Amino acid sequence: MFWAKRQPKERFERWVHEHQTMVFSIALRITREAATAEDVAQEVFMKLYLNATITDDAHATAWLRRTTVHRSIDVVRRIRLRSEEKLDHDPQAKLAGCDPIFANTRDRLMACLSPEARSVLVLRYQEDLDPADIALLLSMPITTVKSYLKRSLAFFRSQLERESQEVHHD
Amino acid sequence: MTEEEVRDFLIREHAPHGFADRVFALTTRQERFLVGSRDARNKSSLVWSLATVILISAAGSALWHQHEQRVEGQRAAQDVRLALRITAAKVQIAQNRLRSEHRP
Repeated sequence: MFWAKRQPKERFERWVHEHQTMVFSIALRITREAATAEDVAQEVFMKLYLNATITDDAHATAWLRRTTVHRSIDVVRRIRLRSEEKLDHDPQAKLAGCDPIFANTRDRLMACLSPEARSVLVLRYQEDLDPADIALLLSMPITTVKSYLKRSLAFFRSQLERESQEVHHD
Repeated sequence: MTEEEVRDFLIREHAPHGFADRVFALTTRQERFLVGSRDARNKSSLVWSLATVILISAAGSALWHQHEQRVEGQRAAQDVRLALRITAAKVQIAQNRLRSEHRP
């Protein structure tokens, strides 16, 4: 709306410089595409610019994390719907549908996780947030967050183990 | 795979070169767009205000004209009634005079 107040220029510019890496990284890990991640990050910063209710640094950081995660998940869902991919919440079940163009094993394994599981992993290990904070940020029960973490790590371990066994057999 | 390995793997990636500048360019464009919309809206509001004033003036003028006509009509009717009353009085006087002249 044209009459909406915007962020003061100096504060907004400082926040963009401070948080651009965080916002881009979260978007990149969840969307898995640099161009899409940049679009998401730009959109998130534009939303911040038009939201004058955010005035302090801590609030801005939390808001940016939450908005980036939700927007990234939305974008992934939209892309997934468009390409009619059918991914399941269970990472094991999705392994067959993983994108083979990811040469790096870990990238490939991340791609096999659901966007929600990726979000939880990113917030836990990239942003170093506690499961309780992640639960609060993503509006999900803490047990779900812990379950995503546990299942994702177990999935990584089992897949890496299997692949190393296959290499030994070859 | 340990938690530390996942942490190492999920290290933050730098935003692409020129990202912040592109965001600032977007905000500038957005600002221009918002100012443009506001100007357009202001112009449109001005036009609507003028149109409303003209409409109200025209309606007021028509009502005033109607009122004036009604008042004039009432005044004319009053004049006619007065003229009739005077004429009737004169006729009465003439009749009385005739009657008194013909009386033996």
